[in-house]
Amino acid sequence: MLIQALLVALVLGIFKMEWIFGWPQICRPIVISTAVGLVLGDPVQGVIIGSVLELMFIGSFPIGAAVSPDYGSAGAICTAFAIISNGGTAVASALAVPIALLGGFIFIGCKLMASFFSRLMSAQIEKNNMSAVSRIYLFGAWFVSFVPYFIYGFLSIYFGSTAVEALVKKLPTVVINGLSSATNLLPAIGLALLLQMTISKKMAPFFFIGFMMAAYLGMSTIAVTLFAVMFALIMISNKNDQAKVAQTVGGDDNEF
Amino acid sequence: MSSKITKQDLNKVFRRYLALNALNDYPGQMHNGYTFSMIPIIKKVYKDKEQQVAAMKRHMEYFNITPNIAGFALGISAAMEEKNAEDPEFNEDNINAVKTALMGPLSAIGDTLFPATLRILATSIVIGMASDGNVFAPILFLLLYNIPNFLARYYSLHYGYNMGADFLVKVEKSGIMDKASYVCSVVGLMAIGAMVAFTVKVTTPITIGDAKAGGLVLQKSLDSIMPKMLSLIVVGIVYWLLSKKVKIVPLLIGTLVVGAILFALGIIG
Repeated sequence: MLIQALLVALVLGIFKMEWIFGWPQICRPIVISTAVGLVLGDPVQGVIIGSVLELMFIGSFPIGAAVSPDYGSAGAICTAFAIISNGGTAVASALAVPIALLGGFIFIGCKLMASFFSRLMSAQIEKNNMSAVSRIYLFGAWFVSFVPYFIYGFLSIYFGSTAVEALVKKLPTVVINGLSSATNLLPAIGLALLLQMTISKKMAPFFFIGFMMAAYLGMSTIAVTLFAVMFALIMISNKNDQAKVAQTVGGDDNEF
Repeated sequence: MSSKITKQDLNKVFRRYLALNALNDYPGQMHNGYTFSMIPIIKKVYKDKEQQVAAMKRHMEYFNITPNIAGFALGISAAMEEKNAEDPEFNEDNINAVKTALMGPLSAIGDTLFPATLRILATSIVIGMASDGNVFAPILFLLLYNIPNFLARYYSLHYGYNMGADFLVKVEKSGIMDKASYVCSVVGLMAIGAMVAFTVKVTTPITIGDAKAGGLVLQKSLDSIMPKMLSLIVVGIVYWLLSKKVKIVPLLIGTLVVGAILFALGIIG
């Protein structure tokens, strides 16, 4: 268990350093779950669990000051729990909620620690010591991204795995099967959250067109997406034409 | 006399700017990273110690823009710091005023483009592969997201520097913001629609009468009206609950519990 806990903790800690390297989205469950699957010897199950967790958390991403559930910790830790306990996606998604919430609180702690490093930077700015400012920044960035999550990952797996395994063994099959099928509903939450952010009355038909292309015509998401890009391009050039027509007709200047 | 900012200097800024939001805190969000990114410029354009300190302090003020396109702000700041070093008449307050003016519009378009549209697009393309257990799905996801991500960072910084403070005026005149956000919402919404059909897997095993003797298989009748109708309904219910201000955590737990109960009752399967 020690080795597994260390491996998962390392993956989580290192992937959390994504903020230093251009925020490449490696903490999305689809990526980090696969990586955890890889180090635990089952990348295929990793990517499958990742796809479920990804959809669960698809509507949550950190914007500004708001703190959202930590999908990265959930992706890494819950995938590890699922693989170690043989509980599959049911275990992963049932545990994802508490693990992600605790991760969200840890994130608040990280930001508070960042304030401390910020004060150290300000002190060096007064002395005009630029290389010290840079060093403090990089050390602080590494510290707040790697250390708390490494500890979180390690403690969860080292102390939690046995409990999760025991729980999975005790749970009646009805509950496990029920949870598994309920897991299939979870993407609805992520997608509804996304909808809330993007939909407006005027734009709503596009959502339904996308849905109908997939449902009635059986088109894959890739196909729908590519059609969508073309639709949007046509619509924009139509808009431009209309604007030009209006201009040549010589409408009221105040309109523009 | 100060020296001119070269492409190499901007590339130094670029490498630091990758870590722009690595040390966010509550008082100033990305202010630490902004100062860290501006240091090569400050070192280059100011020879006077007082001026260097003043410039660093200036950038320790609050800053928050979607990091993927925050390069515009950094580039503009670089151009303005350069001007400030050359021209004693230059009003230093303008540097932060422009930064502040950029935050709203740039974040609006940036949040739509990157975390909301591009990420959803990349996810929608690979999610089918992923749920089939194809380990190349995450690699494809990373490529789809990151090629535009790094290009946007690089070019936003260089464009920002070349355009300088007129940037906002030019962009607003061209109307490109409106067009980009329109394309994003069309593509994003259609991708979400398709994902609803493919990823919310819910069917009902309910039959009325004996199926073999010509009874009604509910799922079949539903499919003949609209396949995946139940998926759309579930998303509709969750959407409605969200608009009724139900919090996400109760919603997640509630969905698991209600889903398990409906399964046990044989209503969904």
